[in-house]
Amino acid sequence: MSERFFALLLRLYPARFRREYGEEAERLVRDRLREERGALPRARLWCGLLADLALSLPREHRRNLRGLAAAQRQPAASSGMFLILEDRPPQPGSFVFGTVFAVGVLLLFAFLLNRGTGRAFHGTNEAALEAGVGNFAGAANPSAEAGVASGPELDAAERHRVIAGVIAEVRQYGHAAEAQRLAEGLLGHEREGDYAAMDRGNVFAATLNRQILEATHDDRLIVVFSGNGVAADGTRMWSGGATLHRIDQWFGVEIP
Amino acid sequence: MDMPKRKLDPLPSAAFHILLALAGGEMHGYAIMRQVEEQTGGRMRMGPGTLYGSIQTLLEEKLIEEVGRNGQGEDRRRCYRLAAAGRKMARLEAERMAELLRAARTSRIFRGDYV
Repeated sequence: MSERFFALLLRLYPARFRREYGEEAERLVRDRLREERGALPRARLWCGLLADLALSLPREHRRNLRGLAAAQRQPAASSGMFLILEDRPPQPGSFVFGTVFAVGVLLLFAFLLNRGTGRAFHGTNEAALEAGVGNFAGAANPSAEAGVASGPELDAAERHRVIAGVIAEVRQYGHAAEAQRLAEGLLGHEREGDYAAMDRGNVFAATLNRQILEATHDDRLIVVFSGNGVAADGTRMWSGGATLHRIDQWFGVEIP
Repeated sequence: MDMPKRKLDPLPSAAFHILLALAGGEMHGYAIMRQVEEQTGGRMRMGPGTLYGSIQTLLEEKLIEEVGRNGQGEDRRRCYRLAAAGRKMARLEAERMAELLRAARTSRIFRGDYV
């Protein structure tokens, strides 16, 4: 199995290299597979082979291209007219292998991309849920966007005001059962002292967002923390089409 | 007119190790790989791409030569030996490294056994 897989990988090298050294390379890997048994040596062997492939493949293709370019520069009279066609045309199997390999690489790339930045595809709500950092009334706030908390350190009274505000907002929007469940959950956490160490607004907001999502299964309700604070003008502010309900100077609830 | 740049200037580490391995006598690819592994204390274990790519370059530069195949049937392997130019190149590289080592010693970066 391993030998066949290496034989497939060998197809990635230029035909000239395979013709000259393909057989020897396969024999070398066969010898190593025979000698290096066990999970760890095998893992090390394959890591080495893949690293070697990554390093040597571009070099061999460059060498091949140089060879072809040199052949093109040869005067036609002194060399075969079809010297450039020395590389054999790809076999049908090569196309199949190339397609499977390309699809595999694309799937791997898509998987990694989705793991790394998948949340970005689900809109800003999830990003805000994670970060718990907002920008009230469209005010620029680089420190908040960078996840650096500014504003005052939170004390227990401030945290309680925010919790009470969140529960009130959920009730106001007619989610009585969810509001009750949320109230029990948040106040329970508060009693247990789970928030006691959270003296930074963005950390507290992110924690609340996770718990709100667990209780309501509604990701539209987001607690937003702003390092800038808000003007003490009233109860509603608009930010990018979202309604922000004032809870206190530093926190708001966003309902798109 | 610019001189054409030689492929092995500077001499890559893999190529130097192959030259050193072949200084002990003719060998096939797998034996070269094992010899290099031994002479580097297991630090360098060449994969087939690096090994045969380097062998190809050394052959093109006439630093090593192929001496036919040994073994029987499926186990027949291509063997290589050091050419005179390759021996000279390996010696020059070793001298260059010795010079570097002398400079390192002078700069007192070593301690204990190395001094």
